[in-house]
Amino acid sequence: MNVIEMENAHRFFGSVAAVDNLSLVVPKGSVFGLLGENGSGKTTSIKLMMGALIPQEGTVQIFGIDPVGMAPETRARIAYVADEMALPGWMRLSEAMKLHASYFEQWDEKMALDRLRMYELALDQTFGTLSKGQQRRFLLTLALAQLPELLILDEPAAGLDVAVRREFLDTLMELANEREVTILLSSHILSDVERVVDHVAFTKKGRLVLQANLEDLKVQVKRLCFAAPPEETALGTHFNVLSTSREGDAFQAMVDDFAPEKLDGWDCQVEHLNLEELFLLYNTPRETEKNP
Amino acid sequence: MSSTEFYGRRQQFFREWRVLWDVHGLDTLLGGVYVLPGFYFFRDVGFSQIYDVIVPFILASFVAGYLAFAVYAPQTQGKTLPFYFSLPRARTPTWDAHLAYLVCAVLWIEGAILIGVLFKLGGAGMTPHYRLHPEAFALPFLAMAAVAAYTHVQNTTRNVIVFLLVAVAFVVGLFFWLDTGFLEGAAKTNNYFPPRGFDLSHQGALAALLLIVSGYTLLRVRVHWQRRQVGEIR
Repeated sequence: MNVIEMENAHRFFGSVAAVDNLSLVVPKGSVFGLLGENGSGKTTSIKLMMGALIPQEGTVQIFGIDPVGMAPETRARIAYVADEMALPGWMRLSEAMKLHASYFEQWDEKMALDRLRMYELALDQTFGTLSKGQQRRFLLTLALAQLPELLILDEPAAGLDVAVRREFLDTLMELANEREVTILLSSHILSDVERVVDHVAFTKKGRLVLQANLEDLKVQVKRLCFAAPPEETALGTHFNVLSTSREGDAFQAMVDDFAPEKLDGWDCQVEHLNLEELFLLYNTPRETEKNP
Repeated sequence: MSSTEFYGRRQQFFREWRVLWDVHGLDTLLGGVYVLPGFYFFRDVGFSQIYDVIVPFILASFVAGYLAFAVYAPQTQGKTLPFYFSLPRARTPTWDAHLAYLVCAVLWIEGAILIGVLFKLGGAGMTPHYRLHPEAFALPFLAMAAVAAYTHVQNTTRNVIVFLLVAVAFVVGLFFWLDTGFLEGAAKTNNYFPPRGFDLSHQGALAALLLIVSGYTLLRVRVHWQRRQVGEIR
């Protein structure tokens, strides 16, 4: 069952296609990474999912419902934390907690207070006096305490230092392991995200480049390193070659349908690609490079 | 209580009032106090038999505008908008509940002014007759509507200029009204009992006009808010 379904969604701002024929599905219980460079349409996609924007074409559904004008009882199942999100600076944390809690039938007060103690945030502090990291932690605490089924995070770790980012992502992993919460996480910091996501979608200029289970992707997409270049046509009959590169006699090929039995006696090193390398592979134009 | 009941319209309405009261209750209560010093400014103590209750209503307009800004601005602008947008509440009923709260707040503040009239605040020397002006009652509503409109529109140069012009027109209108409506000051010739500058029926008509403008402005703001896609780049 899919929690989020976008089908052929289009959203323009003037003549600029922020989201261009985007289709993706977010499976229930997954930790889904919506990944792309700045300006690739991640935030606009999330705004379409939240119902903050209406697609000019195509459909968006959350829990099988159009998010625009979503009933409050359904909206309560979704928690949302964005990079550009804040509370009024004058508002005390205690006031903010009381305000937020009043909108949810289920509210884990104990968890919220435990987290604030862990973060060393005092309830009588005002939101405006918190650092960016502390603000983000507080907003995440509010989101988690409402016990959501779907947690949408738009660049949640942007602008935070390494330690805070790590701790933030550890919290997400803990959440994903303990409760069946679907998490959609958008980011351009791929090294962070790799630790937590199990599904990924790469976007570029508002379009979907790839959507896949990350483990499957890592199993299938490999870098083959040959000491001596094999015959390329032979390689092409065994694998779907995405790109090749040559440095002197050394030859590398990126393939997306790797299986050990396909190596057919070739002497090569098989290298795994990390998320960043996978992202670059699919987001840069494919060409065969030959060094002089 | 089932989810349907918890998120029913009636529950939502009272929830919005509770939230507003929790956050803005003290400001709302004190608003009725802040206007009372207005009885002590710009009055002819011991010189006129009439005290025209104007200044407290002008102060009430500022308080009403402030409350409208405090309630609406975080929900319609800037980095706080996504937070409020993501709360589980129906958009239009929420807006209506907020408007109802603000109207009641203005009525409370005007009630406080009437209490001040009852206790003849600011009076001294010659026993003053406190004279009320219908259009003064409409001023806080007009201010509330104008600020509500301002908070809901985009901060484009055009809109900022429009609102500045409206503010200038309001101030000019206010001075014209003060000057024309209260032309004849207290003097021996009128037994220190200056008449109304405008006929009461004209004042009533002006009050009705100001309330209609306020109501129409709020209606347009409501429709704008219903249609607005909050995720648009602003």
